[in-house]
Amino acid sequence: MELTFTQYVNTKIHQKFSSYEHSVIFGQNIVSGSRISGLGAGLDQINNCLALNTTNSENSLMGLGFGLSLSETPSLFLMKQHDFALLGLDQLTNTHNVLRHGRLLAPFIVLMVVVDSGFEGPQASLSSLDEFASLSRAPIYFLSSKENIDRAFELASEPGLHLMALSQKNMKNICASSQLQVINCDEAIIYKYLPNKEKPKIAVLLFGVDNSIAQEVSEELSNKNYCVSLINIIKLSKIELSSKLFYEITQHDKIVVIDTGKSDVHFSTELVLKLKENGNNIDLYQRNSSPKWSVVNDDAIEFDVQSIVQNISKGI
Amino acid sequence: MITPVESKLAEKIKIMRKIQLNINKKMLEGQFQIPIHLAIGHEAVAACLAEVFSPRDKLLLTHRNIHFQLAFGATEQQLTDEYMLKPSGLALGKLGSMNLMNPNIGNIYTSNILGNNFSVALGIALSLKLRKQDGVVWVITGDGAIEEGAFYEAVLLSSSLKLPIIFLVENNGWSLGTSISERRTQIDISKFADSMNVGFKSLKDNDTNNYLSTMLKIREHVAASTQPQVLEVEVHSLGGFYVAEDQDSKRYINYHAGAIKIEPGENGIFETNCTDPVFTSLENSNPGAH
Repeated sequence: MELTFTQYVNTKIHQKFSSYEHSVIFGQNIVSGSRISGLGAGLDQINNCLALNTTNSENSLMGLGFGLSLSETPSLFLMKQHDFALLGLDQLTNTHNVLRHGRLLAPFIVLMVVVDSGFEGPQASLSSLDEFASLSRAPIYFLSSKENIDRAFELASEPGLHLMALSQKNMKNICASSQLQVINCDEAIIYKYLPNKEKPKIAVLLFGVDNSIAQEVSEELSNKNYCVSLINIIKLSKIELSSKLFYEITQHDKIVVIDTGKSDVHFSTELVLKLKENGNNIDLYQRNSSPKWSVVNDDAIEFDVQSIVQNISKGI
Repeated sequence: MITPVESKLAEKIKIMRKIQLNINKKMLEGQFQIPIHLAIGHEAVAACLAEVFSPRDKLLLTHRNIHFQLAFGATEQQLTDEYMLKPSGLALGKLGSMNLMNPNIGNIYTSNILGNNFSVALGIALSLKLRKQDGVVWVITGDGAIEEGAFYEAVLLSSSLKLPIIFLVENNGWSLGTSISERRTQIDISKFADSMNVGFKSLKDNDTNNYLSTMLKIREHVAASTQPQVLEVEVHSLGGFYVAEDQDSKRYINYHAGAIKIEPGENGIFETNCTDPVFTSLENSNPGAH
């Protein structure tokens, strides 16, 4: 049976939290009402897991998770809307700074929905995960594909803070296994389209919660017989020069970096600078802050598939 | 008639004062690079808490934690070394003063951010409850930190989830160099707590006998009922000073951090009244001696 992103993430939560002797899942409206559009379905049925509907107090809820982790109790804070996580930044920053080196004894996962579906208004459409990753010094896992989700939940078995982000736009979309060859790196999943060894090799790197634009670009390029690697970043954090991922990226003739976040500072910029120093041929697409972001709008990505593909074709 | 426990506490309070004054001397000599917040005048509340504290309890502290560290057994050498960031310090010289924690005595978190430790206490208390461990969480705070919205959130959530937490508010009436009347309206914490179905008690005058019995009762009640409580303790941070404002007026500034410049008498007493726990302890054990 095909599952939506919502259903698949919910399944992963069930699997992970069924395995603990004691655990807590908490958040607003998670075991009543819409259960966060279904993300919280059946959480109160998990054995040995306390599923709590909480007060509307994000700061306290972030701290609650740290307290549980200090006490060896795994937990998940399931929250609709990334923008509300701003209220917990003191905990994500100051508390995590004191505790992150060895004092946290169980996983504490914060799963945020990034409301990128449009028409929600300037505040509800926050998508500034780079700043969160930087302030908290914790990677953010992009739940942008089935493989990303699998890997993120695997990584979140380690004690400590784990921030996850899911696209609202994706929630009702089907979350299926890829039919492509998949390479698992620590920081990313690499999807290999059928290689045509005669044609240049192109890497399409995605930093973001929704991989649809990067996937479309990859498919277009593949249709043009390019040898394409779609690289879905899993962990939004610094990518080291010595990493397997950096090596894999540099094996391509052309690199296209697509960043769909709304941050003003980007980890993708840092990677691009490193790649440029390495002599790689790169196109970078990032969203630029505009007055449009201050009013209700469709929240459409400002760059389109065709122009990205055309630029690549010109640049090789 | 003074009880053996009171006598022991009087002695302990004197030692805590003496150690703080020794550390103060080192501060005046410039031996530390880190900021240190002394707690001269706060000794009684910490000494009494250490008496009623169960090994199953957890303790969450603030930037001003020296009195609790001393009351819970830290030695002068361990603290001095920690403040000098030496590996022989209480936290191996890694945490300094404002975040100093000692998991060996149940102090698993200390925060120097005002109001930051409340919510961490919630998680620790929830874990105790979940695992049916018969302990309570003592989260220490002050009259400045309860102005943060985090206090409201934490008291509400602790009451809603029925968590075994005691919010211990050390009310010294000051936030940095600003007194309560200079910055806000009075908060009636008893009414605030009552509005959220949370119990409330208050203590003052460094009466260790009363402190002990009240703390013990609160601890037992919170452990048995898993209902939070707020305990407000009036304290006087000694070591304040006067600054000249106009030609003929001067303004009292409360001690906040760093070295205290006034020299106390040899017995360590700063005030000859109940605002000073050392005076109170000595007076109780030897009435009229001062």
